[in-house]
Amino acid sequence: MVIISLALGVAIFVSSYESVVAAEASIESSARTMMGRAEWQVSRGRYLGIEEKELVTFRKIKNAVVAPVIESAVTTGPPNNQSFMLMGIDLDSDSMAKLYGSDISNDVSAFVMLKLAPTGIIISSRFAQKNHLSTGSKLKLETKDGMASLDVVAISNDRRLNAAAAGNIGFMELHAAEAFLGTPGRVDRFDVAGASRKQLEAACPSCQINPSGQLSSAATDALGRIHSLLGVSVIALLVGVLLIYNSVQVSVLERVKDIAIIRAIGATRSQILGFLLAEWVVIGLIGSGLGLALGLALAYALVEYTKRTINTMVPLMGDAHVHASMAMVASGIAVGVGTTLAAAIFPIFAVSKVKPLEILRPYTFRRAHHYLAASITGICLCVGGNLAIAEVKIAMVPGLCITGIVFLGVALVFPEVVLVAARWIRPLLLRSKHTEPFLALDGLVKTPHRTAFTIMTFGCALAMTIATETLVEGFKVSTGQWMNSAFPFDITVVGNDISSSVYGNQTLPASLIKDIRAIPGAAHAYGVRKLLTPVMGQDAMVIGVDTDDYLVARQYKGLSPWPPNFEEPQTLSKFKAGQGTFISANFEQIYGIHPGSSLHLQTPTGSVNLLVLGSVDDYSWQHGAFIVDRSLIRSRWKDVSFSYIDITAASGTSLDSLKATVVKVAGTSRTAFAYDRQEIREVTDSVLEQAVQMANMQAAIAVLIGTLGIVNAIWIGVMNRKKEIALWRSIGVTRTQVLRIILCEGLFVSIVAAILGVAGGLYGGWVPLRAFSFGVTGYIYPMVVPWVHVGVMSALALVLGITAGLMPAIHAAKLPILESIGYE
Amino acid sequence: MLHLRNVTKTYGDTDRPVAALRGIDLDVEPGEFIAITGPSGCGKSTLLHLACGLDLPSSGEVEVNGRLTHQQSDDALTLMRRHEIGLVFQSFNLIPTLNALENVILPATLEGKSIRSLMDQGKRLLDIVGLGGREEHYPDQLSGGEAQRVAIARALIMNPIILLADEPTGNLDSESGLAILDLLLEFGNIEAESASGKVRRSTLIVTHDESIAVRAKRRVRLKDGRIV
Repeated sequence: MVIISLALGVAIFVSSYESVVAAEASIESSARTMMGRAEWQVSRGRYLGIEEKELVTFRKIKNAVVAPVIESAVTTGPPNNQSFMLMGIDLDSDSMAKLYGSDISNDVSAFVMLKLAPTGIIISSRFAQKNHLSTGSKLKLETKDGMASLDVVAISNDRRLNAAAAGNIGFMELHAAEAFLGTPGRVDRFDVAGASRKQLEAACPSCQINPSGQLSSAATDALGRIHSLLGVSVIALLVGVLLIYNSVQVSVLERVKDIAIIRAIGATRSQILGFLLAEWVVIGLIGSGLGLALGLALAYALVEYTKRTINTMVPLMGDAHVHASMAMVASGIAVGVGTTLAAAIFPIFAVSKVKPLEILRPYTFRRAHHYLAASITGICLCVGGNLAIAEVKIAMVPGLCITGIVFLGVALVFPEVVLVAARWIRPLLLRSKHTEPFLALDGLVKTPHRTAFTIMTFGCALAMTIATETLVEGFKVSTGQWMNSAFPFDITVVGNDISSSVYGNQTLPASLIKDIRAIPGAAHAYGVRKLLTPVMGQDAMVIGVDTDDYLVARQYKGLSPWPPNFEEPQTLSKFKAGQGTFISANFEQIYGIHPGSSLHLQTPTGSVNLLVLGSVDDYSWQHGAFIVDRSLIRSRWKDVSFSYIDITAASGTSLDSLKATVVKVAGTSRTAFAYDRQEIREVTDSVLEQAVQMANMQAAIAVLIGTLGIVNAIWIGVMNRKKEIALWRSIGVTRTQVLRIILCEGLFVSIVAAILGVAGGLYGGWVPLRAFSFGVTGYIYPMVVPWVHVGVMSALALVLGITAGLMPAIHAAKLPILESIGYE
Repeated sequence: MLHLRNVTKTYGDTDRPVAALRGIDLDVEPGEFIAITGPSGCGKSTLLHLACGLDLPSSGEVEVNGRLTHQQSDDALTLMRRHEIGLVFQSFNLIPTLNALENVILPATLEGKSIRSLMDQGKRLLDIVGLGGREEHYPDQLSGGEAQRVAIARALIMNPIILLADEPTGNLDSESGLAILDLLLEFGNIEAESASGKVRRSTLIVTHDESIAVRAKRRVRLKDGRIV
């Protein structure tokens, strides 16, 4: 059982580790393929692009190779709606051949075709195969103005191209791509080689110069989430540590007399230490080996999950391969053996220090002593950990370390807690009509440390699930409140299927809103445009709203002002004039910009200063969002399209028929999707659940480890008390009563573990996770107790506790009395 | 009260059986105090185990208070031990995490009786065995003799009609051993409650100590599994 638990712990760790490594390697490989020999990427800032005319300035730098690049994530048409990386490349110079040097650059005929056909595209053979495309086929892609077709002029077999972005990549001639994407004269960046940063800065002082191969924010966020799984795996491993500690202690105590005899006949303390340590190293090695195998299998699933998560945003991750690399094997074994030894060392040292005579004397080891020193240390660790959480702004890794310290503190205090609690409960149970609970408690108190650690193991596993759910519930409730207070719509129209990807950036044409307003039953409609824009080196979101239409829709719905001070005349006039903005609470937290201060922005048409008019709870973007009047987006970003159009239905209108009409009207020029509020809610909830799916899976494994811990502890308790159980039987305890006593032990453990789990889970959802949940999720939201989940998990804990006690209970009930009573 | 008729007990496999008891006939009448003696391995403890239903005979019959043990279910035998038999072991077999009083009342608590009256009864018994005021003491705080007194008190808590003691003085010094024997003699033939009314308690004590055995009213000597 120890080996199985250890293997599960190692498997969780190895799979998380390997999936992170494989995902990173794949993204890096994709990025390397894309960047070729380029050393720098030059633009006005992320998402701001750069004017193509600046190319001349950079090409003046001696020996510099400068290639203008368009790199845009678009979506293919239905039914697949896949993310597709559309690249625009310069065919007027040899910069592409010099920088990328792939097979494509040598394919002159393909280039000629690209040059000749303004709607020509070269696609990877992998993408062609997947979508049954060949030379001459039409490839449909979504654009700002609706669906457009491109002509496949060549298919490239380039190996690196097929590996990058899972093969979902295509090339157009630069100017053709500019026209296709509606950004004439503007490219995303210049890729540069053969120039220093100084030379580039001198050429364009206002430009942003970044080393090539930097990950996009989408990829960084996805990797951040995968990294957080490593954190969860560390907690699962901590649960495993307690189980191993428990097992070592029991195993050592079981043989304490043998050890005493060996010591009495001349074995030195170091010899005892040596053989016990060697024994547990072997167990650690076996568990690690099994864990590595299991972890590899899990890693395949995790990598696929990672790929799906990342590629729904931007097709960044190509083929990811899980390898049993030396580093992975070494880290898996190090974690497994290290965990085993860390858990085993204390009980082994403790037993090697005890004098043989003390052990050989009867009863010396039977009755529990106190754990005062351990309790004081534990209390100090708990207090210290909590103070650190309260006082220091914690990042994820230190947050996890502090959680570990608090966890250790509780583990040290808990044996004494068990003793004290038992002292209070014992008389009550003795007075009860049934003796079984009393004897069960007595059995558990015989080894307070074992009971404490079993409770801790199971309780922490439960706490993990409750903590995760607390965060999810908090997010759900706060986003629900946000939706209710911020949005007056009944139906929203978007350009992409948000049930498959909420990160799609398809737009709706500006002309669409008129058509929608003309639909009978659509009382009001307002458009919104969301764009990513750089703020202090990060990607924030600017949300442009048609203010007047939005206010009319709110009035129609009878909603109170949102943001609260929005409708104050002075505030409203500044907002509508494009001079003011409302920032989200997480924006305020991330960038340290508060209401009343000024937000300085770089836009494609120059810089702009906005007065921060207020801060609101807004969950649009994890890196912070700010809301402006859409006129500012039109004038500064030169973007007239919509990200979505919200429609308020006239009273008495059937939402279903309105939705159908909206899709029909919007779908004439392009693909459009309409959702009502309930559907939006369901989609966001499912995205959230998908995000915590892996954490939940790990928590489930931890619960399994915890349950194994109870089986292990109770089983060993039965084995250690064979004589006592036989004595019960000899003085009149029936088999059924024995069964009940042992089941009661499982029940007691699970009851206390459930209490600890609920308390720890709520604590975990409130303090430490909250401290780094901002770093992981990017949002600040209130604590919401997930009562249903708490109830379900508590009930599950009781069921698992009783189930865990069942096998040992049956074994105990069937113990042969005479054999067992003579057992020593 | 307790009757063994042509009882044989064989251990081991069928190829090489080891006969612990061979054709034992023994009748224990109410109020009798019997010492079973004999060298090590002669079957003394086996006889005691058969008498209390902890083991069943390979052949023959063991009748306890009118019931044949081999015809009883496991639960019935367990309840028989609880209600009608008091057991005292050589190594006391107290539960180390229960105090003296809790150890004494344990068999009675299985009946779901009022704990308050049981506590009083347990305290009285501890007083009687000379351990008044030691109720809260745990087994590791008691001497061997004291622990055995607690074990005797526990055996008496259900007021059994048969008291079986397996080498009760085996782990004690001679002075403590004699004191324990006095206790067994004192409680060994008092009146006890049975289903059929009040009967005098019978006591069977297994010992290899002749100085103890001589004090019994009747001695049964075993050798190689037979009564000699």
